Amino acid sequence: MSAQPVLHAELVDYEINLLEIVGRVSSSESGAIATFTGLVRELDHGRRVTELEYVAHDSATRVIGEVAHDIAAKHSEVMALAIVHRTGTLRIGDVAVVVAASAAHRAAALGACAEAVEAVKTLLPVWKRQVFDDGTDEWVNSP
Amino acid sequence: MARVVVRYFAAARAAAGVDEETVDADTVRECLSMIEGNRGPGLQRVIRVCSLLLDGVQVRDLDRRLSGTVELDVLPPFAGG
Repeated sequence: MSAQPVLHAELVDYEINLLEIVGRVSSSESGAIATFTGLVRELDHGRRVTELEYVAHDSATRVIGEVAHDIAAKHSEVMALAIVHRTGTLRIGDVAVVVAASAAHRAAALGACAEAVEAVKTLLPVWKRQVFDDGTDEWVNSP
Repeated sequence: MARVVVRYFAAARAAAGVDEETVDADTVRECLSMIEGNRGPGLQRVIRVCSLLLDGVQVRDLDRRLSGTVELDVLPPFAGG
């Protein structure tokens, strides 16, 4: 019987530290750690972005925990999984999200990491507002 | 008749121009038609793609009878990551 995976899922309103999160999923048993880092990009459809604001629904803290739990349950070889999403106002190059998964071997770590990123994108009740260099703004994915 | 506290988020909040409002309605469908009437076509366009939570639970039946005081959250498509 395998040990329960170590899960760490949270929304934070401060700078995300990738190495700190890698440390959380690392153990003497893990032979592979896969990470994903999502950054604020300067160009969106050719328009220059100056800042990005992320806002979360009240349920986001619960949902991010459920996502971590479900992905780890599906990938039984995963030893630890961390998902951290930032909220508030971010600048170009700031880290918006980090996912890190550890396992004995790379395939499980990479698979769980990729799937967790997709789940965050579709299931997490978080929105982002892009502010452009001409002063206009838009909520991404909304008409 | 129920008292519906409508809470707007993200693009829905921008389109409504308010964070929340309270309307009296018998069903979610009736509530939507009232707030769209109050707030205009901008909100109508956003609401079409929104998911709705009634007291935290996804709305499936727009015509279910409401009573008491309920909270209706208007959630535009998510855009995390």
